Order: sequence, then C-alpha cells, then structure tokens
Amino acid sequence: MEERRRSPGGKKLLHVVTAFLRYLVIVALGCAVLIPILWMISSSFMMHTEFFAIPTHWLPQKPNIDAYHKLLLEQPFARYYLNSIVIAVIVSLSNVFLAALTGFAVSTKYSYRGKNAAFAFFLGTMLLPFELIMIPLYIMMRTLGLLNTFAAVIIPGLVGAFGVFLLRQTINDIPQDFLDAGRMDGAHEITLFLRIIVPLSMPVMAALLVFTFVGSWNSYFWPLVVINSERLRTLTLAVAYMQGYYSTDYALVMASAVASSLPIMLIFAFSQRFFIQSMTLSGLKG
Amino acid sequence: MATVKKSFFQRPWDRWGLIFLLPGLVYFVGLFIYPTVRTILISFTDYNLFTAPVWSGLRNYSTLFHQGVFLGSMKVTFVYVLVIGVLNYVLPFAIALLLYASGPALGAGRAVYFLPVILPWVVVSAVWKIFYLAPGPIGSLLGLVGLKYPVNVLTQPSTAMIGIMVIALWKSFGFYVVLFLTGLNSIPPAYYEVADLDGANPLQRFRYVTFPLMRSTSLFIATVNFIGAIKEFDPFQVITAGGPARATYVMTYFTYETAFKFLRMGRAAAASLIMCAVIVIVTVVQFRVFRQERD
Repeated sequence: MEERRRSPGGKKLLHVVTAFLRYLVIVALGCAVLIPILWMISSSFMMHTEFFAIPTHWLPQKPNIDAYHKLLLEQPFARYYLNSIVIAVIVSLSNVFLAALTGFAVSTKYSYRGKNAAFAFFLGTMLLPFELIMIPLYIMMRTLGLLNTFAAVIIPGLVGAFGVFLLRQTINDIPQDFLDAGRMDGAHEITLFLRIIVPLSMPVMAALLVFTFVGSWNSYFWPLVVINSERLRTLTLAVAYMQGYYSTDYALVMASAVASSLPIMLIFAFSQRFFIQSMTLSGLKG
Repeated sequence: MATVKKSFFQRPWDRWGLIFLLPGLVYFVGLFIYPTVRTILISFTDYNLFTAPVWSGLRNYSTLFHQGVFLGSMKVTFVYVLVIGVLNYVLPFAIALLLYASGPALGAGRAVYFLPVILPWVVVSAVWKIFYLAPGPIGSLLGLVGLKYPVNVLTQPSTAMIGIMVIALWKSFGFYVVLFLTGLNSIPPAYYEVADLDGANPLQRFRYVTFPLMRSTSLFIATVNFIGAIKEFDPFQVITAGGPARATYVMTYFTYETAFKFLRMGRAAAASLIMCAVIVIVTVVQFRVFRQERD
C-alpha cells in the first residue's frame, strides 16, 4: 500500500522502511512454510538416534539411505507406488472424460427441459460431506463383492461436480459458430464432441487431469474404509500405517513421507503456475 | 410421440444433450441421491451390517443428543471451525495484501505458500507429529526466540487442538492467499487512482476501495473455508485419533468411529445427517447475506 501525497523526504524513508518490513514478513512466512518440508527431507537421511539429539540436528551428521533401503527391501513400497498410480490414473482420466461429456450436456450449447436443474443438482453435491453417503456406499460395495478391491476405491471418484462445472464454463465460451458449421457439414453430435469440444477444451481438461490426479493421490478416508489387505494399500495408507506401527522408527516414517510426496512435488515444480490457476480457476466465479 | 419430442427439444440436436447427460446423471443419482436417501432410512434403525436393520424411530437422534460424546464432538468441531474460520480468513487476507503490494516477491511467495496445500494430509500429519516432539525441532525453533517447549503439545488435552490448528493453518493458508490475490487482481486500478486523487490514506483505501470490492471474494472464501474445516478428517485420525481425552474428537471422527469401529450404522448415519444439516444451514445463511448485500 504505497502512498503518493506527503512531504517528499520523509515519504521516501517511510517507503524504504515499509518495503523492508513487508519483505521481512514475506520471507519469514516462507521460512515457516519451508522448514518442516526441508526437515522432512533432511531427517529422512538421518540415523535413528539423531532424532533425539539435543540440540536438534537440522542436517544428518552422517547422511545415509538406510531408511530408503528398508522402505524398498523390507516394505512392499514399490507395490504401494503402483497401487497409487493405477488408481490415480484411472480416476483422473475418467474424471476428465465424464466431466467434458456432462459439462457439454449442461452447457449453453444444448437446451432441453431440466438441464439447469440437473446442473444445479450436480453443484449441490459439492456441499455434501462424504460422511453422509459413506455408509450406503460401503454397503453397496459389500453387496457387489467389491470391498477390498481397487474398484471400491475408484467408483466413488469417477467424476466430480467441480470438473463438470469447470468444463461447462469452458464449453460455454466456445463459439456457437464452430458447432453450427459442423452441423451444416452433416457431422454427428458425437463427432462434434470429439473433434471440436474436446480439442478446444484441452487446456482446461489438462488442468483438471492434474487436479484430480493429485486429489486421488492424496485421498485417505475412503481407501482407509474399504481397503484391508496390505498389498492393496495406497501410499497414503502406507504412510499412515507406518507412522502407527513403526512409530519409533522416525527415519523410516520420514522416508515414506518423502517418497510418497515426491511425485506431487515434481508435478507442482513443473506446472506450478498452471497448477495454482487450475485450483482457483473456477473458484471465484462460483 | 413425434409431437411430444418436438415440444421437448427445440432443435433436432438437443436430444443429444440429454443423451450426453445420461451417464453423468445416472452416476450422480446412484452415488449421491440413492445413498443419501438410504442414509436417512438407516438413521431410523439399529443396524450393525451383519443382522437385519431393526426400526428404532428417532432413538438414534435422541441418544446422540443425550450422549456426552456426540455433544462433546460437536463442541470440539465448533471451536475448531470457528478458530480456523476466522484465522484462515484474516491471515491470508493480510498476507495477500502484503504480496500484492510487493510486486516482484509475488510469484515466489505464492508458489512457496502453496506448497503445503498440494501435499497429502497424511504426509503432513506424519511429519508434524514428529516435528512436535519434545525435545525436538519445534522446541529448538521456539528456543531461538526465548520460548520454552517443555512437553509435546499433542499429548496434552489442553493443547492438542491448538497443535492441530497450527498444522491446519500451515497447510491451507496458501490456498486462501491465492484466492484473495485473484480477487485483488480483479479490482480495476482506476479505483485506486481515484482514491489517491482524493488523498486517501492506506487505511482509507482499504476501507473504501479494497474491502467493499472484495466482498464477493470474501464470502466465497469464508464459505469454502468453513465447509473445508467442518469436513476435516485426516489429521484427527492420523495425528491424535481424536485424543488425548477426546480433546480433538471432531464430528467426522466420531462418525467414522461409530460406523466402522463400533458398527453402529444407524447412529453414525444420524450423526452424519446432523453434520450435513449444519453445513447446509450455514451455507444458506452465508449466501443470503451475500445476496442481500449485493442487492
């Protein structure tokens, strides 16, 4: 908040001082955010005893990869990785496809009775806490014999209202002429969807893909409820169990934390701008 | 049949809109409407998943409201949501104003603050649980500013919730900073130029330009923040499992435990409906306020 009108000399000094304080706060906050994350990485290379050292060790005295070794050889961590990847890939692809299709259906490109009601209903589901539907969902999965399978984890996440909303906004902005021209040439509606709507929505679909991939990767509650066997655990489940059962092997817990957040941090590093945009894109229009 | 179609769909291709809608509609009805109805029905029964449900009328609801455990979890949730709701609004707003005023630092600050937002809650919980050990990292950091940290906050009933609140703020404030920045960026610079011409001081600029123009952003953020806080589950399960002495026993954790640990599906269903009612009521109130102010 700079100010324009006051005595020029004092103003300049005030300017420098406030700017300095501002940067100080910004940097201090940045440190507060980064310290636990950096410490997570650093301490995963520590020896177990170092966690109890006084004064605290911020860097490992003798950096070693014992914890990672243990993770890969004594724990089926590669398997957990694969589980998380398979689930996240299916969930994100299905979200993008169904959100585009449903978003197209409720966009301004079509008009039929009940369209807006259907869209309002989709949006309303965003309010509901998952706890509201978890018991019947659990019973459904049990009846279908799907408990303790990937299908049980995946089915409740196939498409979300957020994606439908996002794609609808995007598709609304596609010029009507493009569709009309296609129809004049006798193109089928499915062709219009695949050849016009999908390509023109690609940037938003990519954003939604990343967004839902990360969401699935981070999800914990529902996998916790439906997965029992060790070999079907996702990474988040594995980390949670690890900090429960090996609660004193801190280096192992830290290594599992680093390993399971690494892909997310890489995605973020490479698509940070795009990522932040996608997460807040729709936000303020709602 | 043909005439009905003509009045239903204005143009021949409109029926494809309905066809494209079908998969999504079937999915949302099957995964939201049907389970919601079933939750309502289950809430009027005693049901343990293994024997047939027995109709019990409103007994689950009356048990919940007479049982100290649920009322306690409501209170714990209320305190958590209130504190997070206020702090996670005021702090990000202030930080967004700071970043907005210091152009070059904006991009870097935004990216760094956003980092915890994308990390899994389970990872954040596991790391902070060890970060809070006494003696440990938190203690040495506090020692730098002359504060003592004699005992792990998470192990004390009086401080465990504060410990989790700090983590929750650390994890999510960056998200709200970015939302506030988006709002700030959408304010036309001309407004500030006019305020400057009128000789407004920074406080007046905030009071008469920034704050009124941020009203819709503000209410949106307040709503998202509130719903997010009331739905929070992961840290309470991973870090404290509701303890110590039920100090962090929030409604989501109560519902989870009642359903999947004690297999009291009816009571858990009733609790989840009460939770849902609270969310809907507060959201409707927030939207009403928003509409009134806009009119």
